[in-house]
Amino acid sequence: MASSFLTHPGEWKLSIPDAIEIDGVTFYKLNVKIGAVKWTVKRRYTDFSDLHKALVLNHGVSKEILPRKLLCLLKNDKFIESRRLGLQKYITDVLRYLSNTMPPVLVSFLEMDKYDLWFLLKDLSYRIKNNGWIESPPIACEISIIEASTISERLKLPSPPAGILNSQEEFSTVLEFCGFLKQVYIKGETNDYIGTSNICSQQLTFELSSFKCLDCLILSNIRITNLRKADEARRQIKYLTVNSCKIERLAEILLCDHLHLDWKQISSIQVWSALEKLDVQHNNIVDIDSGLEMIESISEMNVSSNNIESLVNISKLRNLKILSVSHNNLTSISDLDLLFLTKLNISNNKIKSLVGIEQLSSLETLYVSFNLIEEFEELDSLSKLVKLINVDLVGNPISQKTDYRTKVLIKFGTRASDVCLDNEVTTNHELELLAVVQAINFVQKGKFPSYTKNLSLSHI
Amino acid sequence: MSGGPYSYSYIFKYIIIGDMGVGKSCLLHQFTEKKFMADCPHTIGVEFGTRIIEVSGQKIKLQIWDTAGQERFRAVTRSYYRGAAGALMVYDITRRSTYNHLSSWLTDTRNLTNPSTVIFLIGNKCDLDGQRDVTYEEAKQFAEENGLMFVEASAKTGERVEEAFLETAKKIFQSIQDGRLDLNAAESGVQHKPSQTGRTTLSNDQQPNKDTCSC
Repeated sequence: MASSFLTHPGEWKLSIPDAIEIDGVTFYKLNVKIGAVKWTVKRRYTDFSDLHKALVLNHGVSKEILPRKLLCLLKNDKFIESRRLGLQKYITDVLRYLSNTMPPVLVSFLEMDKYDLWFLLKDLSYRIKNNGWIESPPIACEISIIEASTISERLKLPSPPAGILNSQEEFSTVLEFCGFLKQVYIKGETNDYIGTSNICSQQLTFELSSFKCLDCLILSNIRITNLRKADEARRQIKYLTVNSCKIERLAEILLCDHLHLDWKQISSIQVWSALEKLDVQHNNIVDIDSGLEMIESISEMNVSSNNIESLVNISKLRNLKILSVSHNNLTSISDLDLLFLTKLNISNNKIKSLVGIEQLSSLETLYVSFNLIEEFEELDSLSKLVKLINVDLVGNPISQKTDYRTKVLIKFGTRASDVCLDNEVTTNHELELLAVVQAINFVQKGKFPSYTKNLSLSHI
Repeated sequence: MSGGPYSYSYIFKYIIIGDMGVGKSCLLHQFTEKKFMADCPHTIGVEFGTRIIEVSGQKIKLQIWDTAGQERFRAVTRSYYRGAAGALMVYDITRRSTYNHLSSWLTDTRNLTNPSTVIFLIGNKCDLDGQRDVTYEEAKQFAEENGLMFVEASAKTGERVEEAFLETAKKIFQSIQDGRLDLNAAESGVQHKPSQTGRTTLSNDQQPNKDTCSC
């Protein structure tokens, strides 16, 4: 949780424990501690000097209190040490003197607008106003996890007395803005801590209730159990993307704020009734079956880059048109029975056979590249998919075999000319070859082909 | 979402107060979204909603703070009274205790708002007439004695919900026109926005004014 300068009066400490040299420039490490939260800011002497000028000019800070600028070139350790102590006393005095006014220049010098609840919101509100986002709100906005969390925390805090901040007005600006957003991208941290602070990114909880007309939500690097108040969002969100959130079961996302419930006990309130598209790439999902009842309306699902081994119950998603399960551990797809599926991506799995795929009678595009298909018989089912026009088998052992293309294309019979295999359309030469092979097959079975007029034996 | 990015000439700040479970959040939701929210979770701290309405040809943006009814959030919710132009005080017609507590809510409101704040009493859940525990007449009398406006409404059916919010706005607008409400007072809960161009200068002006040092 972000620090809270206003609610911890007097509980702050500034210290400069250290000076470091980077590329010949001396930086002072300024530690800021407010309540239990602390962070570090690196500042040069000139930064202090710029701050000082602004404070002297507008905020009644005495001109003499900043340690003098030294014109000598000899900056030895002793000099830096005394300057470090001088600056530490300076910045502490300044904050004590201005803690009831908190001018923006001081706030940003101490980076309180990054880590402190009140100034973070003030900064957010200032950005919203400055960009004219209340009059013409953007449709989409990226919100950091600490901002999202701060908004939720603020709802539970009393407004401070008017003074430093016009807190309530600023907060209503932020909330109003959130209320307009249709697409929200909440971006978590890949690091354990926010910036240089000790704010643990995995402990930041946030609520969705302030986003009142959300239809697209993107979450990445978020601990999904930290998400709260999603009931209203469930009824509204059409596109949900949850990437790199280390989820192991689909139900973890779908039940998020109701995790104590068993997914078998779901009631109407947990159903994502408006959801059309679910994207949960780059997680650790093993179990995709739990909770499919909550997303029965979806037409597109992407569960690529997970650890899925089986798709047993996915056929519950009767409306599914596009499904991507690439980069998983699938060994078979015989369980798939989706009447309306037009596009299937199962590349980069461990599939040896396409047996069972004939149940996908609407299939138009099929990506099976980089699997373990070795034998041509395993592709027999393709002949039954009368709408199939795009097939990708690249990277399977079978694609190294002689006459690979011909032997695959022949499965399509007279439709071979419509099919695009491995992103290459069937050439005339291949068609002729196919015709010959087919003719020979017919003859071998004691029948005559019905389309001999197209046949030109001279090509063989 | 009904409160779109439209132009408006006034902002009125409202608060909704009353005991826990009387339907404050549902009233807000019904008013801003025109939908009834079943299984509404209890409010923690405050919630917020806006909607633009029209009174006497003027577009007014209502900024509504919906407060938690539970006693333990009183410190949070009390801080939102300040600068409210309208206060919707809600009780549940099927639970007498929520009605009995009105006088303490009213005391809070009178103490923490300014004299021009319009207080509107709402007897919610009037769709549950069969379980009624508070009569219309006694509540009406309470309202009259204390100079409050009053309706019985239902957040579930939406009945008279609009009326409560709009009548409050009309009364506030009237106070502005009569000159009883000072637009320049910081705590009036009303902001006037004469034109859209005035907005950016407004926010820029605020910054330096606050910097007078109090030490």
